[in-house]
Amino acid sequence: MKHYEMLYLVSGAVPETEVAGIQSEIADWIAKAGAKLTKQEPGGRRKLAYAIKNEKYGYYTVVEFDAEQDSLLGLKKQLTLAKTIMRFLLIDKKPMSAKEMLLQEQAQKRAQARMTQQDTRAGKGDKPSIGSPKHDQTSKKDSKISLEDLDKKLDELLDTDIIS
Amino acid sequence: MATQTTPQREKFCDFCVGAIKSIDYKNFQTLVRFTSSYAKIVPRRRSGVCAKHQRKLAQAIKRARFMALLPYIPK
Repeated sequence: MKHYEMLYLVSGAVPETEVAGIQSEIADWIAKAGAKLTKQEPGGRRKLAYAIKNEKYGYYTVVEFDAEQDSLLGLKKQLTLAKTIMRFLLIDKKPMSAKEMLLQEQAQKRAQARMTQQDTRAGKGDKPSIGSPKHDQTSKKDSKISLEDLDKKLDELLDTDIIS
Repeated sequence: MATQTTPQREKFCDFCVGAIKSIDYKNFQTLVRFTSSYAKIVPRRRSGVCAKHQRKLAQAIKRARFMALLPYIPK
């Protein structure tokens, strides 16, 4: 038995009411292949990064299951033949323990926060330089106040990050 | 004659610092940071990612491209 994760893309041409039916149909196929479904997460309708068969939208769904390697051939064939499914990606995934998952989630959140912080810093660094000529024309007092405000905001941001 | 280069920022692997073991191809907001404006995978010498994570990152970006989460070419 191996743990698998599959992401599949249902064509955006399918009306939203029929998507749930397709999802349950695929869950049936997985069950028929002798696999045990452990997770099903509909991702909803999204715009694709590029058009596939002139279709710009699609419904993403993530499923996780435990299955024997040989039993997946039939499932793959069914998925490739299904007209409503534009793409699917089947990968084997190491099952993570609850503790590992929690640690990963925390790490991911920290990384995301750090990256956004970097972005905002870069953005704030750029903004005054773009708007600076205008400020100089109006009044010097305004620019001083705005700089102080910026410092305060930066301090607040830094404080909140340390706490979280 | 040695030419003076501009001082470079110290580079570090974002994934090592964040203690991230596996890179998820579905998390395309993170992956997009490591692609250029031409939608190409950014080389290690520019992003500072370590070799181990660069391999995982490249794999994840290619998977995301196949599933139309990331573009192959810019619009």
